[in-house]
Amino acid sequence: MHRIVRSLNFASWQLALLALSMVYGLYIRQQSQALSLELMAPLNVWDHILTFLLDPYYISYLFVPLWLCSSCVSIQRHFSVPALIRLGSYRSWLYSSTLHALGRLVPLLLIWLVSATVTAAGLPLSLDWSATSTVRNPLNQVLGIVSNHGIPPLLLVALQPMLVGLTLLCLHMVLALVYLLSSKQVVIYAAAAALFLAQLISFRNPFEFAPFLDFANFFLLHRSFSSYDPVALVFLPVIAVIGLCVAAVIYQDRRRRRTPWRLPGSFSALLYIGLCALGLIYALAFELRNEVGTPLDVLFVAFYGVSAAGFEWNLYLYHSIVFLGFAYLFLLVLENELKARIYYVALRHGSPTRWFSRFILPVAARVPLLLGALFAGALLIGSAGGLTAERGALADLGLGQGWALYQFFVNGTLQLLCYILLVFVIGWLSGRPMAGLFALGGLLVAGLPAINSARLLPAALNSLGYVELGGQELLRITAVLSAYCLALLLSAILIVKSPKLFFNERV
Amino acid sequence: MLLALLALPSIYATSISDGYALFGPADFYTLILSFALPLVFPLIAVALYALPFSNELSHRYIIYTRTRSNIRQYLTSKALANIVVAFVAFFLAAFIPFLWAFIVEPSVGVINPYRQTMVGLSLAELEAYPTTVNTFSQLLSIGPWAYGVGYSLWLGINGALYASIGFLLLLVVPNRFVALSIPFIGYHIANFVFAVLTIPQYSPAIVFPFNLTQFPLWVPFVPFTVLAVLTLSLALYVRRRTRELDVLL
Amino acid sequence: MPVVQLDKITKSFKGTTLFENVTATFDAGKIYGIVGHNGSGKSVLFKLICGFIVPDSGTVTIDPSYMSKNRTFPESFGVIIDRPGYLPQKTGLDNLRDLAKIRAVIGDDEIRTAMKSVGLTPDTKQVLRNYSLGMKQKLALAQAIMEEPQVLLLDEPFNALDADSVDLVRNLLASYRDKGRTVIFTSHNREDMDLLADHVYRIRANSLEQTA
Repeated sequence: MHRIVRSLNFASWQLALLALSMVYGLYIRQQSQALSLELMAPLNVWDHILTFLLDPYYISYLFVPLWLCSSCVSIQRHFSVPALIRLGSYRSWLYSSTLHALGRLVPLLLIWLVSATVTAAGLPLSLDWSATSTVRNPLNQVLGIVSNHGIPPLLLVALQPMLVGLTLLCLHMVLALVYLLSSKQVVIYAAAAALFLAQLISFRNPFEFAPFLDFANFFLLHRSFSSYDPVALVFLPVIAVIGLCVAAVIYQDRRRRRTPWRLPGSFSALLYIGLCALGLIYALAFELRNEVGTPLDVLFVAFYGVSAAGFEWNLYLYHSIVFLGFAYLFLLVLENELKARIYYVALRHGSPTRWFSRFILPVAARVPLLLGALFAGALLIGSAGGLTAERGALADLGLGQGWALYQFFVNGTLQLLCYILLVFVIGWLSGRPMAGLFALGGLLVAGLPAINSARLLPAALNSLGYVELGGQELLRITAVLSAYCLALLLSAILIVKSPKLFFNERV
Repeated sequence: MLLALLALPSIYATSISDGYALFGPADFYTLILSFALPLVFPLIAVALYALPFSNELSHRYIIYTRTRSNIRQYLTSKALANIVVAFVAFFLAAFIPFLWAFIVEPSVGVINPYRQTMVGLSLAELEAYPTTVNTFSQLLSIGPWAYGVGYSLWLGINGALYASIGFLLLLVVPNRFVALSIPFIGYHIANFVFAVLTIPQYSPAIVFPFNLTQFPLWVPFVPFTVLAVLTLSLALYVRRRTRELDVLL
Repeated sequence: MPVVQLDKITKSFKGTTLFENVTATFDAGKIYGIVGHNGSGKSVLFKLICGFIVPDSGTVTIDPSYMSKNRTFPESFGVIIDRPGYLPQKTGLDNLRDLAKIRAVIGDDEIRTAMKSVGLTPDTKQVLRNYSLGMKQKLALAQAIMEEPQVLLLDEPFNALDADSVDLVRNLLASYRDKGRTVIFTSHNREDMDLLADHVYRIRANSLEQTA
């Protein structure tokens, strides 16, 4: 089986999957149209796209087994003594293997999304749910659930592949850990088979008593909605398992080396984490003072930042400490590169572009991790603090939690990327990390609503205080931040590609 | 150019004053000073003198001055220059807006007339209102010049203090970037931590007391004294160990 | 095919012409010495060869076996550029480990071997900040040789070294030539040229003249 898969040309495998997905997509479309006729209600693109993305048969009979199989092959291919020596530790090997898995995952998700989108061609376009989606009817079990949670369809289209993608990566890491511990082909294939069977059973029979054991919850959002409130909590068990896998390999490494335990990370990173936690606790105390709230309100208050009407100093300060603080930590790392050492580093990377991608991408990858951790932390602290009310600050403002999550994750990611790129461009062009620090000071000022009243400067635009302006405004902020990100990325690439600018006064 | 920079907050506040309900020059003065300066104050303090001085350390210029003059005297003169520059800059940063808000603008009448009534306040209370706006405005009861000069001196001294912290840290912390960023980062972290502890009046941000209710005049001197004692201790440490400091070798 | 070929290179830097129509060839398995007065452009020449700076006109051609696809800088080149490149808060070993991780072709053993071959103690807890000038120079040498490069470009490798260390490095470079590798180095010391270099180039009047 191993040799068969290996012998296949990877590109033709993907094409075959795409063709199969397209055919299946047409079948799904037929089903959606039949449902629309049955319910006598019009449908739009989201009926088809989301039905496809939430189809249990496609996921459990095609996606998951394909993934498990290719993971087994990939893990065995990459696990070797020379690879372990080169990478230096089990943990590095796990990260490397996961990165390879990510490289396989992205095309699969793209094929899935493209098939769903292309086969929806011709259906009416809309930003909102159709009449068909919102009908609560036994025939409309999937969309009837997801459409009635106040989350826009576009966000669900983003969330579903994210959830599936994260779950698949998690499964890959579990298989990698199993192989690392056993080094036996039969064990990894047995583990893969067990995972396949478990997810198949859970798709048919929900485990209501233990939602974190129910695989279907981590593949199908409509199942997640029934088991987790708010739905974002569904990511927590997956993240927890990933964390356990990492902890297990670290333990293996230390057992191998017999090195003593010490706190990971530098002092500044630990201080940063401590301040993030302190701020969340402060938000809880602030929220508890009002006595009403849901766990999500802790997130809302903590990252309120500024609003169009004004701001509260402490909340803006915390917002800045978290987001500008992340950029400052990046600046500390950048400072090491702003020395003559860059010659020796760049020479080894082979080209400035390669150096840049290897330098920036890990930082950019940490952005969603940071946001995820802050989100998880807020919910945990909120739950631990006893916040269980059904209505809170967000609901009082008449806002769906969907837009708050959109502002936090989407605009939050873009804002952080802007900060990082701005610090890079200014720091690199000047050759001095202090210039980067001045840039952060400038951003701190630029984030004030009195300065940034038109919300055109890339500072504090991810404040949750802007959620009250409505979805249109948040989308406009996305456009503004995207434009800045693009411009800054292009500037960074231009700097990197020009030897004069890249080596600057170090020449 | 420096004067233009010092005048910038006044110009900006004047341009946006229409959107604010101002009850007198004290309110206008608060508006001018409460924008950008409280956020970037320590950054500017170290940029004035400590930052250029750090170049002497990075290019090992100081190694060659050591052979020509006593290192302690050299450092003391540099430290004093740092204090003077920072003090003058921040004194002017507070005094120029004072002149604009209390002296020039009332004569010229650029901004809209001040409000004459405030809901919930009688005429007598409204008259006493400027002296209750924030900490230091108690000095208005003596007179506007007492307030203007008094607050300007306060800001100047604090500017000199933060500039000194940056300067001294350059001599003890091997990483110059970290040394210069500690005042700025520490300032904001301390402000946040004190806010969480619900004692913001004892935080470093009391240098700009515009967003807090009024406290007695001695309150701002508590954090100031703590910081001054720490700075003095650092200075003594540097003085005692001048010959052994790695950054000077 | 020569390892490095310079064809009519012209380079001005901050208003000063350093090289004008310079042509030179560096073949494999030889040691080349380059002499020139201070500020003549020896470091700039090395940076031109590595691709860190581009000539105003002319071409620098590197043997294609060192320039795989998508590379701007040549592979298997060990260099010492004029300024030291290290992180002052880390030990010598940690500094070299950080650099070695990039290409990931060597492990701790090779790094230690390289450090010992230039006279450094790998396991010292001393951080770079506290290294003497000579130790920093040795670390730069260790950095240049640790990945067993085929070509060495060394800007004043004997600077700040004691007599024993100079002998050590001379023998090291000679052994490189014996293995068929190429060494290009600069030095102000006549003895280094006489003892090591197969060919000597002098930078004079904006050109590179072969003197021996």
